[in-house]
Amino acid sequence: MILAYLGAGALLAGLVLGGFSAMLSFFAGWRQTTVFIQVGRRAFYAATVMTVLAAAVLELALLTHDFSLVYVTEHTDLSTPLALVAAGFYGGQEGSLLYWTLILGVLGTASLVAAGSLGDRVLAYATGILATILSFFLFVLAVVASPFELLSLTPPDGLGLNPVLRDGGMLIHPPVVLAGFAAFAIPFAFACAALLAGRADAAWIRHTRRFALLAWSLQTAGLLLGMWWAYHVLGWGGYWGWDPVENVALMPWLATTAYLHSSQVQERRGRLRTWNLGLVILAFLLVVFGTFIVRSGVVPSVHTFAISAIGPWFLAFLFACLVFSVALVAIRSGTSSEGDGRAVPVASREGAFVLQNLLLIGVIAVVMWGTVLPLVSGMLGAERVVGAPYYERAAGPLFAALLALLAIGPLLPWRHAGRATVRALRWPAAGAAITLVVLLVLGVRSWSALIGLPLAAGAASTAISEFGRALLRRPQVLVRRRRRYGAYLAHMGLVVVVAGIAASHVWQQEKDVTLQPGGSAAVGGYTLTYAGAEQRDLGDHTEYVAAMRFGDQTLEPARATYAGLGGQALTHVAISTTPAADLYVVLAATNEDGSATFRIFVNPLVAWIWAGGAVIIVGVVLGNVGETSPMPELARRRSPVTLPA
Amino acid sequence: MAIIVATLLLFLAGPFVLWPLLRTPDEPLPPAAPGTFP
Repeated sequence: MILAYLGAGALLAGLVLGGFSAMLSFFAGWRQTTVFIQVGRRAFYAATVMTVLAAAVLELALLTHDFSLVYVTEHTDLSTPLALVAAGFYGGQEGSLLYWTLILGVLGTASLVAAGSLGDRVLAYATGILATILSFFLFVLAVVASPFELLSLTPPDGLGLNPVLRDGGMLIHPPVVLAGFAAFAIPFAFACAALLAGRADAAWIRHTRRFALLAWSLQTAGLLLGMWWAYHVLGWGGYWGWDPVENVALMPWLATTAYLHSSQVQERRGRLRTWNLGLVILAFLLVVFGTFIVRSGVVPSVHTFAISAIGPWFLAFLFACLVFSVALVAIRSGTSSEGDGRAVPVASREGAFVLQNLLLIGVIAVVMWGTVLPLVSGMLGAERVVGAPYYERAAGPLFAALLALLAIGPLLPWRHAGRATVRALRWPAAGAAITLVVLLVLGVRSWSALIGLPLAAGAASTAISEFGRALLRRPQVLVRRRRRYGAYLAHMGLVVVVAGIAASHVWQQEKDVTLQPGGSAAVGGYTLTYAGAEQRDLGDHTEYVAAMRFGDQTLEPARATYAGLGGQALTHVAISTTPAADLYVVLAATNEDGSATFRIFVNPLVAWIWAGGAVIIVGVVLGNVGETSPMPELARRRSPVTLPA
Repeated sequence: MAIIVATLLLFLAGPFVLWPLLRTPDEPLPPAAPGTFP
């Protein structure tokens, strides 16, 4: 009980400090009062400390099973393993909001500490914006959805974590994806601050690049971990279901991907300033939109938290962010000049980035309309829902064009392409052509495979040829220009992911079989024999485990029943992974005659998706370790462009 | 109770937040006239 008061008090103190920091920082930025700018910044740091204190208190309450708190009672029980009790911190609505706030505070503090060179006014406005966002979250936590609400009677045990969440994936996917969302508030805050302060140069991009990359890497890892988790836990044989909550996590990732590419045009060529601001704002608005969708329960999804009172608050916050950002861009960016005033040439690196951006925004539009259709159509009378075929038909051509750009874009020089570029294109063209011929010879007739895989091979050829050229001529360039080659490595990873997605999508095999013990079934070249089943008591649940033999391996798909949770049942999938394919076995039912019904999938190249994801992250990390600016000499030479304040 | 805790925490945070104002010395006092106690 004492803990609850300490936590709630810390949230309230954080809210006061955050609000004070926001107001003082905006005022100090406007009046350019150095001492108030410093006080505002310190108030933000102090608000972060209060958030850390509240988070530590909640974690302590969870680990000590303090069931006087509603949150602890609703999300843990005495039988839950300790690691999952600790993960209960972000397992519910209120706790995950506190986690979001914690990451925002910590990363916001790091960004402000490191931002000394940006100038007092940018710093003041960035503090003001970060403090406003932090205050909103602290307000929701302190007033609307407090994790420190007390029960009138303390129960002896809690209700426990949702069985679906009692998995290793719970320890890693939610914190990574939530941190990826929260991290994108940093580029947003500094972009808006630069606009408010009248600074149109690329200084804010250089300063926030690390945070944008961190946000993007966390979002990438979060999405892939979510896919991995869904694949291992949900038991439907797939990893991506175009669920609204998956979609709202994908959209900010697409916008951040677009921004990370187009920001290079501003860094190198001083162009696309307003466009980059627009992308940063779009990515952050999509993050807030996603948070609203997940937490309001307005769109039906397997992920959503219970419908709660915070939906309208998030809608109001989204609206306020939208109005603020659009007004800011409309009023302030009009005074900046765009590069040398000429249009971006199409056949150039910058042209490729612009085209890539437009395609990514196209994908965002497709996903957005698919996601909000139930909401919009529901308001108009008849609710309509679209499924995977819509997304595949609408976004498929855009993804194909993006793959083509992945093959061609890196070979295009800045400013304009010449004859040498056409010569360089022979590698991706050859890679794509050879793959197409091989697929046709193998008898593949699926359009998505015949288009997607050759384009992916073309993109891989581009990256490999660039690596090969560097290794043959000057290997040291791999280190000296590691940002470029790190990006190629990330592209390679993406190609591997695409190959995994395409193969598992096009060549997946599925079979439902009912077998008596000793009976066999054959699927996609695998022969499985059902050896029998047994019941196991595993503390917080019992499992009915079936043994399926193939070769010298035994797979054990199971059905878990949680007696403490009203007999909730959950499928435990058994997967045998090789680089070529996953054998994926689900125990669908056990029958009275001793037989068992299985759903068996053979999913080709799924392991490539996870491996490719790891390569992407490694590429981004290696490419940016110790890297500050792509061309420091250019950055130094270019004087900052200032706008009238 | 939470409000009391919050007030206490704000009080504790005060010196850190207000340090830039606290460390700025006030206007120096005028020197005392000779023959008077300060």
